[in-house]
Amino acid sequence: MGSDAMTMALDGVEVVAGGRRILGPVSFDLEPGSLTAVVGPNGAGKSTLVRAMSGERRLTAGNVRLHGEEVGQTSPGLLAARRAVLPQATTIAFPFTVFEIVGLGLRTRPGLTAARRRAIVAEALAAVDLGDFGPRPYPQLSGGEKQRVQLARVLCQIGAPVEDGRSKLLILDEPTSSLDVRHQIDVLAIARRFADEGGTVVAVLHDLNLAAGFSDRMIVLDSGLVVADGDPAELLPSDVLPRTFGAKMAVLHPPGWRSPVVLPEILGRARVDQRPRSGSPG
Amino acid sequence: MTDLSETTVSPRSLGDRSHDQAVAIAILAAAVVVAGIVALGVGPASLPPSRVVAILAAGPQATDYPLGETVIVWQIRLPRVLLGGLIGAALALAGAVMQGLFRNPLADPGIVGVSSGAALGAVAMIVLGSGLLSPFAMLLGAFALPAAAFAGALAATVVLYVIATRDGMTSVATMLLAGIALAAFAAAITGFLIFRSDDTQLRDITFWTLGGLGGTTWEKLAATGPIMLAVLVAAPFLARGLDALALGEAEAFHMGLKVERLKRLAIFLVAAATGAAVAVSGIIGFVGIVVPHLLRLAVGADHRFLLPASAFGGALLLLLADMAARTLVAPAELPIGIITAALGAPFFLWLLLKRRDFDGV
Repeated sequence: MGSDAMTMALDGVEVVAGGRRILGPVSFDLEPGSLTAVVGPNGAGKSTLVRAMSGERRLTAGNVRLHGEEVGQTSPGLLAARRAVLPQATTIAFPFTVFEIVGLGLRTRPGLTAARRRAIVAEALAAVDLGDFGPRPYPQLSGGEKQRVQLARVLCQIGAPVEDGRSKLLILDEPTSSLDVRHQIDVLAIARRFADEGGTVVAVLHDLNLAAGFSDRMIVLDSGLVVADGDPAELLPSDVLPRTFGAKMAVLHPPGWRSPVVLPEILGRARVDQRPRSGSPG
Repeated sequence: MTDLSETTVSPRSLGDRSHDQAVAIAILAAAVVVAGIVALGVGPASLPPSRVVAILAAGPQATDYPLGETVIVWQIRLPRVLLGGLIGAALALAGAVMQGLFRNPLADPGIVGVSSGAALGAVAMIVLGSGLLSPFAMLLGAFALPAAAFAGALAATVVLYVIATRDGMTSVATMLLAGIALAAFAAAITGFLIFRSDDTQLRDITFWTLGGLGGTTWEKLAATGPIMLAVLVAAPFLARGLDALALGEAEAFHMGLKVERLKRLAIFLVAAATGAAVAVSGIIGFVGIVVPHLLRLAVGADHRFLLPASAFGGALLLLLADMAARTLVAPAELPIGIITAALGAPFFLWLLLKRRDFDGV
């Protein structure tokens, strides 16, 4: 496949801040119809990578192209029509309602009638299991509810997974970080469906099993570099993850599952009940 | 509503309040008109609203009514009422836009030193207008004072924004403290200029500092009214951008907003509104914080509704405050700033006490 057929292409992307290289050089492509999970320890450069892909971060070297056009050279409006970004956490100081926040996603799609806008917002809210949350004040929601409201807004912004033959890009930065188990699965299922319908998804995830279960491809980032990139079913049992995260992991193969699961070994570290709590260490 | 068939849920149960919001704005607009007509009748020569309307309808040159009444309504009270309404609208809008820009409901031109910057500019023009700044004074004529106040307000807003905002986040503490420092600094220079001024200049400054709307003429209105009117017309165009900005700078960019351009426009607008208002009436505090806050409770945070509602609400508040200023100690007049501060300062303290209700403050 030529690079023009790719949704996004990163070529030698480097970000240097304060004299320290925090990302790169990194090169990879994102293919239409794929869901790519980016995993890595804290400080690996995942958020910087997200900002580089979204066009928000100025690159020190290299370039990021969305359907062949460099994101740094593309107008914010055009970018917004072709890619949407789910941020980690969004706090708002004003009493916007959930309906108003989600409707903000539609600013990239002018010319809709009020009734159509309401229908789109209602659909997006139902998709994230917040169907009757429209009138609620956003600042009073829980962290997980806020995260799902933001996802609904992002879904409104991005619209159809494919438009004019172009696969649209969803960038999700830790979309499940404050969600309960069931909603983690719901949210990733939405992302999975978006990819299955021809869209392109890249998601930063902390839960390795969720990442492996929902993605076609896993990129492991460490110290700003891609240390592994491949099929999660092959990556999970390898020694890449234990090495990168510095944690021992047990690999399990649940019957009927596409990909194995890993469990961090906590033996000898957790719940050492016998140890007396002493006031001073050592 | 007529769209029920299309969405299966009513707009209101979905959280779409645009109908209620539009009604609220219409009510506020009507209240401003009524308050304006009442205000035209209030004073030593009291006129009932029906007569005020008739005199207005007859025009300034009409002879159907006693000349005194026509002059009182058209020449004495109308410019004052219009200016009062415009100043209230401009100050409330400046507050609402500034709060949107700083993503913080506690920002207000008066509280964080922007008005002090404008005052410094105005005093500098009064004192140095015949000396150092005479080229500007001559070039700009009647616009020299508003222009100087605008320059002062702009400088203060920019400095404040640069100090208080890091990576798109504004720290409330930094903003308020920087505002105090900025106001003190501006006051120090203003004080020095007053100290250096001669008797005539001192009289001008005192007259100006007392503020209020007394002695408003059509000429005075003509010098700053158009600026405030322009602000009123321009502000709604920032509404959608400010809505997006409320989610954060990065999020606003993700949604397709040209963030830097919006911020520059907002700063310019705040400075123009504050500069024009301060130039003509001195510092009238707290309008910019009280009005948008109350209206957020009534119409919500959506700037498409909040900005027009704030403009009308500010106009209403100032018209009422000016009526109080004219009648409470008649025949003398209270400076209007005393009334807005007496209402606004306790309100601001109450806001500070309950601010845990807000996210990210």
